Parts: sequence; structure tokens; C-alpha cells
Amino acid sequence: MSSDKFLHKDGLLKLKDNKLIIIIGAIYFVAVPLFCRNSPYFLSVIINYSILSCISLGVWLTFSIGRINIGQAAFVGIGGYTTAILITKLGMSFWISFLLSGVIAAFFSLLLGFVLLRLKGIYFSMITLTLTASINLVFLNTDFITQGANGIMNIPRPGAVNIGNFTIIPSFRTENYYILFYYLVSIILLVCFICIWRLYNSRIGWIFRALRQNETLAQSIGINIIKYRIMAYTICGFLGGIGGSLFVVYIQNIFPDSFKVVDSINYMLYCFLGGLDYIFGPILGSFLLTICFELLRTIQKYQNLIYAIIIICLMLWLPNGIMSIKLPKKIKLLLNKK
Amino acid sequence: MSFLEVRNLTKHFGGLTAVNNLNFDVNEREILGLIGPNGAGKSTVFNLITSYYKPSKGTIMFNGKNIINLKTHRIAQLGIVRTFQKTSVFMDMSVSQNINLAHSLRCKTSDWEKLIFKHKVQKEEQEIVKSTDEIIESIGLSTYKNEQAKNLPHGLLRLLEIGIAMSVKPKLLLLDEPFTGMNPNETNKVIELVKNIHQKKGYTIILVEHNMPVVMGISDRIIVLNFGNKIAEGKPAEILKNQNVIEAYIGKDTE
Repeated sequence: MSSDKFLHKDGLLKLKDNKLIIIIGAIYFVAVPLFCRNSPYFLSVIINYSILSCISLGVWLTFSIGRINIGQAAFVGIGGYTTAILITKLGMSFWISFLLSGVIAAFFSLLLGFVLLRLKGIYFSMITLTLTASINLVFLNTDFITQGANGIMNIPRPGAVNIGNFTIIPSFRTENYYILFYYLVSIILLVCFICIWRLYNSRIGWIFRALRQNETLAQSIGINIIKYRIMAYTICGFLGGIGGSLFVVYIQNIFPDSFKVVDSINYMLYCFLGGLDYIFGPILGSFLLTICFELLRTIQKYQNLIYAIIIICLMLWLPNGIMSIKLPKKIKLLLNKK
Repeated sequence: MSFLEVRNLTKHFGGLTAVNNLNFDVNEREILGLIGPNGAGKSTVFNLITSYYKPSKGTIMFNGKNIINLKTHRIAQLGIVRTFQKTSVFMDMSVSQNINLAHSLRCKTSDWEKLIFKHKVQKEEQEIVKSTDEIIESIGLSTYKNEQAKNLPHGLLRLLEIGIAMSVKPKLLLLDEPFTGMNPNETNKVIELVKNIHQKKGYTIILVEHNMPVVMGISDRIIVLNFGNKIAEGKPAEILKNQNVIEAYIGKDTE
């Protein structure tokens, strides 16, 4: 249940109070690299789900203002192409391109948001559905920048970041780039989670809840609903952009249809599966579905079928996602119910 | 120049004229009753004042400023807040969360400051919590402070609605049928609340209501609408005797 205090200071994760965080942190940053350093397969699964989580966090944010956003893959694509072009054509370092990808994707979602967010409910969702497909076509047809159907390939991995004689971030162009990627995306995921968590627990987060529940009332008590809608959508775009950027340097190529409509739908599914009421939902959802997908690889033929059945079962029996299973109170406080 | 001046206010919905050339003033600190049969255009007037609809013609001057082109949230910022005919609260939040959220308009800290959780924000949040408790106290819902709004009975939700409107610190409060669906006990509670906030907080109130005894009892002045036209204006006692008003509600003698 929601807590008494409106803006509870103790919700701000005091490390000493929560052994769970330390355990998860230890597993994540020590145990996994230690045991998996020789099996790139496991690391790649985790890298994959981490990037998907960042992207799905963005979609989750638009859910939190009451909108069903089926267009996130468009911004992942924008972010991906931005990084690819900046690195290959302008020779920029990944680290700057990464941030620029987020900013440029956010900029486009700001522009589009002004127009699209005027639509309500299902009409908004329909338009976002076409957004992904449209962007794919844009990428295909602007060959002078994006190289069209040929895509951009052989994108170099991130280089080192040196200040003076000190190497702050080692180069990814070595043998053990998997471990480095693992740490990179895990840290980025952590930062994204903390930022969204803080946002959602601030007064702005409560305004988002108001938008979801009763927009007319929110308007009548002076909340500028257009501003906050666009804010949520822009942050969503930013998260999509940086996700795209990470994918592109990980997979080292990008094509116009690298991020399609089915990907947009997947990002939504991760949110649904994990639980729309919890910020941790999309992370848990993408983790479980990614693991599931990989485990089913052995039954290649039936993979999609079983995947679909699992999702249907979850929709039938756990419509509020996995996080809605009754958890002991302490864990709930940590994982922060909506 | 009065507090609120409505001049030649007209609203057409296609062929239907909901409000026709309406002219009236609202004086500061009065309670103005707005009555009329169903379909007279009373809620439409509220929607026009708060910019949910744009008028086909006419102006609305609030403290000398024409507000018809402003957006709804801007009008709330200027001090005009309304409640709704259909109970409108944030259902999935508790009473205190509802009231606390309604304080958002009057926050002096900017969005950026809120995100970084600066010290200023924490101080302001503490003040808001205090103000929330005061308002919950004054609407009489202290025992239901942490109750989810969806679990509350209708009568208490109406009180909560008024509490939400109070949190925005309005100058002009538009109450749209606050007494609908209430038993006599609940009605008295709301009457007390309205009188209380009128006297203590000095709000100006426009009250749309069908409950005649209540409206006649509370209002300083009354305006009667019928089919979008103003058919009478004056003190409650005069209105009761007005022939046009009686015709509008009950009908004309056919003999």
C-alpha cells in the first residue's frame, strides 16, 4: 500500500538499511563477472536485457502518464543512427556520441510530442505504431546520411577515455570487451533506474500519476498538462536514444529495420510482464523474457509458440505483472511500488 | 469594475445555443447562486469561464483581464477553480495524497529544483504537509486521511473535491452541484463547509445547484437561467416570487 508520508526521505535508499541492495550489487558487480568471464554467451544475455531495460523504462514512463506508447523503437533507431553516423562519418568518440544520441532522440520526441500528444487514448497509440514504421522508411530513403539499405557496418567499439596519463575508461577494442560492456550497461542501467526513481518520487512524479488518473481534474487545479506530458515523452525518447546508441556499438552495425514495430511491442511487453505499477517492472520483465527467450533456443521450432503461450498465461493470471505477487514489506519498499 | 464581468457571453454547439448573450457581474466575497432547469446552460457557463469551451461570442473579465483566450491551467493560476458535476477526484490516491497533490500549483520551487531535491524543496514540502493537514481538518476528513479515495462514500468524496479546490487557494470558486446525491446529514456538512470557507477564507463563490432550500439559504444573490438566457436576477426572496422563474420551473397556467 502507499505509504503515509508524501515525500518520504527514507525512501531514498539508505544503503545500510537494505541488505538486499548489497547482495544484488555484489552479485551484479562481482560474482557475475567473476564466474562468467569466460562465457561471453551469458554476458551477452545480460548485456542484451540491460539495454532493453533502459529502453523499456522510457516506455514505462509514458505508461505512467496514462499513454500507451508503441513507438519507442523509432527513437532507439534515431539514437542508433546518430551514434553510428557520428562515429563512422565524423570520427567522434563513442562517449560524446552516446550523450548526443540521447539528446537528439529527446529533441525529436519533443517535436513529435507537441503534435502527437494532443491525441488521446487509442488514437495516440495508433499514431505511435505508425511512427516506428515511418522512421524505418526514413532511414531507408535518406541514403546520403544513413547509407540506406546497406546500413552502417563495422562500427568500431568505444575507445579509451584518458585524462593526462590516467585511463579512466579502458578501451573496448580488446579481447575482454564483453566484461567491459557488461559493466558499462549495468552502470548505465543503474543510473537510469535511480534517475527515474527520483523523478517518480518527486512532486513531478505525482503530477504524472495525476495525469494518468484524471487529466481534467489535473487541468482544473492548475497543472499544465501539456508541459508534463511532453516532459514524460521527451525523457522516454532520451532513454530510447541512449539504448539505441548502446546497441549500435555492441552489435557494431545498424540497418534501417534494426529496430522495428515488433521491438516497440516487446518494450511494452516487458513493462506489462514486470508490472506497470512498479518502476522495477520493466527491468524485471525484460530480464525474464530475455532469459526465457534464450532458454527456449534449444527448442528452436517451438520457441515462438511457447513464448507466446507464456505471455498469454501471464496476461490471464497475472495481469498486473510479476511484481504484483505479494512480496514481504521490506522488499516492496526497496523496489518502490507506484 | 467588479470581480468577474460576463458580457454578451454566447455559446453555440452547432444549431443549439447553450448560452445566449449572457450578462452578469459577480461581486467580490459574495455567494452567487446560479439556478435554472436542467439544460439551462449552467454547467456550460462554468465550462466557458474555465476555458473548457471557447465562447462563440462575448468576453469574461476577471479583475479587469479578459480570460477567454487563456488555457484552463492559467485560469486556475489566476485564481478561478471549479468542481465538477460528476465527482472528480484522484481515485487511486489517498485523501492526503489528493490534497497534497493539489498544492502543486502554488509551489514556488521550479521543476528543476524539485528534481534535484534541493533543501528548498524539502522545506516547502514540509509546509505543504502542514497545509494539507489543516485543509483535511477543515473539511472534516481527518479520520479518513490515509483512506484510498475510491473507498470513500459519495458524500465524503464531495467534501474531498472541495478540499482539493481549496488547496489551490482560489479567489473565485465555482461549485457545480456539490449537493447532488446527498442525504440531509451530508448536505448539512457541506453547507457548513461552504459557509466556513466563505467566511474564513474570503472566497467568492458561484454555486450551481438544484436543491432550492440550500441555494436560497446560502446565496447572497441568485441568477436564474433558462434555455441559455438569463430570466431573473436578484436576492433569493425576490426570485422566489418572480413569475418568469416559476414559469420556467413549473410551467404556465394554461387557462
